[in-house]
Amino acid sequence: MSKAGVWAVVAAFFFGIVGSILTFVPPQNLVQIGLGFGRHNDRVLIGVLALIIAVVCVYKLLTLVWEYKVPRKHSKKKK
Amino acid sequence: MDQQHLWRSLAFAIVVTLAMNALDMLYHVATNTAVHLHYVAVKATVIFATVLLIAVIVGRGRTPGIVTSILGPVAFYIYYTVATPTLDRSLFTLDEAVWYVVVHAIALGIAYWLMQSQIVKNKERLPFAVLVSLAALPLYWGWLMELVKLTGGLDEQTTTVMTFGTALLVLVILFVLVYLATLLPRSWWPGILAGVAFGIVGLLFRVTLIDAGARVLVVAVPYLLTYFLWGEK
Repeated sequence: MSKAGVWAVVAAFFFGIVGSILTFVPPQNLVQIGLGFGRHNDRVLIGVLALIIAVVCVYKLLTLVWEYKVPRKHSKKKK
Repeated sequence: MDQQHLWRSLAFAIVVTLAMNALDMLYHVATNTAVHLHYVAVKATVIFATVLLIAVIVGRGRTPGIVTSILGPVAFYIYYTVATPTLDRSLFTLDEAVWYVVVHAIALGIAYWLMQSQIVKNKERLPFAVLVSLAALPLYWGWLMELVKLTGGLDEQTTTVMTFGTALLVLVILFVLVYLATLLPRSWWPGILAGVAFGIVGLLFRVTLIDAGARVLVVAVPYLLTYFLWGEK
C-alpha cells in the first residue's frame, strides 16, 4: 500500500473514533472520562468535523484502491 | 501539496458553501421555516469543511461533487439531531425532518455543479453572475442578522430580518449589478465597482456608512473569489 493509503487508514481510524466519542457519547459520561471541555454543542461540532475527516479519508482510500485496480488509461500522444 | 491547489480549493469551498446557503435560506423563507443565525453558521461550517476537505484530499469533479453533496447534509443532520437546541423549537420550525437532508443535498449539488461545470470549465457570464449573486446573498443576510444581535436583539428576532419577497428582491439587485460588472473588461475591479454600487443603493435607502461599507464587501468578496477560479479548467 502506498504512503498516502497508510496515512488515510490511520487518519480514518483516529478521527472516526474521536468523532464518534465526541458526537455520540452522552455529555455526563464525557465529563467522567475527562473530555468535558467547552459546551455540549461545541463538542458535537468538533466531533462531526472529525467524522467528516474520517469519511473523507475512507473516500481517499477507496479512490487509491480503485486507481490501483483500474490504472488510468494514458492518452496516445500524436507523433 | 501544491500551494495553488490549496488556495483554489479554499476559494472554491467558500463560494460553493455561500451559494448553497443562499438556496437553502430561500427555501426556508419560502416554506415558512426559520432562518436562524446559529444554525446558518453551523451549517456553513460543516458544509465548508466537507467541500474543502474533499476538494483538497480527493479533488474536484463529478464523483467528488456527488459525495460532497451527500456527506455535507448528512453530517449537518447528525449535528442537528445530537446538539442541544438553541432556539425554542415549539415556536420555530427548523430542519427537523429527514427531508431536509435531500433539500440541502440538492442545494449543494446545484451550487457545486454551477461552480465546477459552468464557471471553472467555461467562461460564461450568466452562470458567473448567478453564482456570485447567490454567494453574496447569505453574506448580506448574515450581516443583517448580526446587526440585530449587535443592537441587542434576541435570537428569535434575527429570524425575521428577511421575507421571501425581500430576499428575492435583493437577489435580483445583486444579479443585475454583478451581470453588469461582467460586461466590463474582464478583471477584478468590476467586482469592487459592483460592490460600491450596492453600497450606494443602500445609501439611497438611508443606511449608515458602516452598513454601506459592509455591502461593498458582500459583493466584492464572492466576486473576487469566483473570478480567481473563472475559466481555470
